Amino acid sequence: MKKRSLIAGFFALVFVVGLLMAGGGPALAKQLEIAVLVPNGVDPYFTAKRYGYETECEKLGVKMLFYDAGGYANVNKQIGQLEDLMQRGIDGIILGATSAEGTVPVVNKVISKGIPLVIDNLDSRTKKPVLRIMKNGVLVGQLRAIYIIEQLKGKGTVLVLPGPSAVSLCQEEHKGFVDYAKHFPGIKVITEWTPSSPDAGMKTVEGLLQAHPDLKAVACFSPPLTVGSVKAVQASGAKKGEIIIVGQMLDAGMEAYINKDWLQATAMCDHIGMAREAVRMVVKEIKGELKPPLFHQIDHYLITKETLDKFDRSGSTYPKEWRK
Amino acid sequence: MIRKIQKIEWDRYGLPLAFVAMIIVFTLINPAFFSTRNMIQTTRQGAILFLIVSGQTFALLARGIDLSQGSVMSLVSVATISSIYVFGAYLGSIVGVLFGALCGFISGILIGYLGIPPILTTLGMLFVALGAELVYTGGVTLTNLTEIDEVRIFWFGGGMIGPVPVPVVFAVIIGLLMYYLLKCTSFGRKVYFIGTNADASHMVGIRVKRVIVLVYVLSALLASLGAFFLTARLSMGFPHLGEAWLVLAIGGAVLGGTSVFGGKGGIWQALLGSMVIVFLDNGLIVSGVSSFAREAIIGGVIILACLASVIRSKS
Repeated sequence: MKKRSLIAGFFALVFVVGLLMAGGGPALAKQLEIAVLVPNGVDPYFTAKRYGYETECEKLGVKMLFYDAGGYANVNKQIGQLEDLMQRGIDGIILGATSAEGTVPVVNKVISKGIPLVIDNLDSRTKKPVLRIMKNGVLVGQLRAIYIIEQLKGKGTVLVLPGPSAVSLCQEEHKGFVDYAKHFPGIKVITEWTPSSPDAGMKTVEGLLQAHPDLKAVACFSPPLTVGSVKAVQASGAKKGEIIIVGQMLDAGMEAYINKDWLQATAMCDHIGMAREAVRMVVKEIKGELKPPLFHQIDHYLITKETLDKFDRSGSTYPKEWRK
Repeated sequence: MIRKIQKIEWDRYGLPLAFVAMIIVFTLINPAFFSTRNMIQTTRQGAILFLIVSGQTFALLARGIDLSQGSVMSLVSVATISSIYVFGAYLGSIVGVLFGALCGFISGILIGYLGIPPILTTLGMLFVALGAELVYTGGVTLTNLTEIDEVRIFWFGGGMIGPVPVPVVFAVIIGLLMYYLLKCTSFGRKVYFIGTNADASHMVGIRVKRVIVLVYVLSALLASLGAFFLTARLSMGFPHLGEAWLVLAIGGAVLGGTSVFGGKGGIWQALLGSMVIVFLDNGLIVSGVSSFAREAIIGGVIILACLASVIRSKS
């Protein structure tokens, strides 16, 4: 009797599980899983973007895995992360590449495997069709140049501190700046490719202020470099605004520098909105609603002390409570 | 004349002479190099590197190595700012630095008492410290100190005592203490002895394990102090602050003349090595050498120093 009950119970269980599986009951539906890979997670730019990725994934009911390569130099680490994700059978990938060229073979492999992929801002120069959501690097460089040259009335020495040299966006921003500045013979541009860390920025600007005491402006391509530059200018004994500094993005520290007139302007875009859009794009590609190739370019603007309290922050800043 | 030159102890005076020659060459290229302001800011950078190199020197003298210094620095940077949020500038700074010393204590126990090779232990600690601070911060740079805390902590990194930068004053005091510790105490003699022959040290009754623990505590503590002065100057906790410093720490120690095979070197060598690296880097910047070429030149100098260390150990 006991044995018969056990057999009956077993078949009943199999029946129920079978029904649920066959019906594709909502409780057992596979949740989409996407991976976001960034080159340098500690950069405030990527911290803010992570907020965008996380909130959009939550909204769409998608599970997000976040991978940080830990620095632009760690191309191999990012390649390893992408290979692991292919093995895992991830549903989709959003990639900010550590290197425009170095990641191409592995990105080609991802595309060949049919894994939906969105390249978010930091390009991997694959020739295969892919979805891209990009900043306009040349325009960002030009924005900084326009502001600085206007402030200097077309005359003076300007230090340009582009971030990691292998990053396509930095190369484009640098090109945008230099090409625009060429139209002004009174402007002398000094370029110093610098690792994206505050101490490297500080050390470089301190040294170059000695070599070029006539320095009138510094254009920084990342938030850590901006902070380092401000510290170096403060230590040089220059008065506020005597050396114009134009930065990249905005965090609490940089906002304080703008308010105290140590930082004159910063180049912005709605990078959190951009991250949200990247999530929507990859989900659409997974569902077959969007097919590569597609190139989505976002807008850019410059923030100064005058516009600091007036611009719409929803696409570029995250709430203070987040990550506490 | 040639005989006089041959009589010079190049092993002892070679680097100081090269240092002086380097200063003269860079000053000739650009007189701004020798300006008071540049000397002040370069010695400020040098003081921070000197502390970190001194720590590495202890590990190298005991025939070890501390690969965790860079990550410990990053950990201390975020731990210091986080602690300041809670305890205020002074107590918070002490708590932050103690986090670094704790890492060294753990490494020391693993190396000294459990016998795990220093290279593996400190490599492991490199990842543990980095992982811990990244998990804690979520990769976020820590800013937003209160104005009073920012002013207080900035003094340690960016302030002046008379014409001398604060980190330089602290580095001189700490350097003298470390020099005394190495040259004038039994602990210092034991470190040299262990570095020369660890097995014999056991036989003559030296408590090797205890000395090893203290060596790694000092290595981490000095790196933490370097990180503290750097963090103070930036007034922010940067989760990758120490990334570039490990190579400079090992390079500075070896360049100064501390042997990678243990038992030879000291604080004076750490001072020389760190000053050469910092002034070389600054001189190249002031002379208009690009960052790419600068890295290659500094790397080349460190390789040459390692080569010299190997040749010295064979002779």
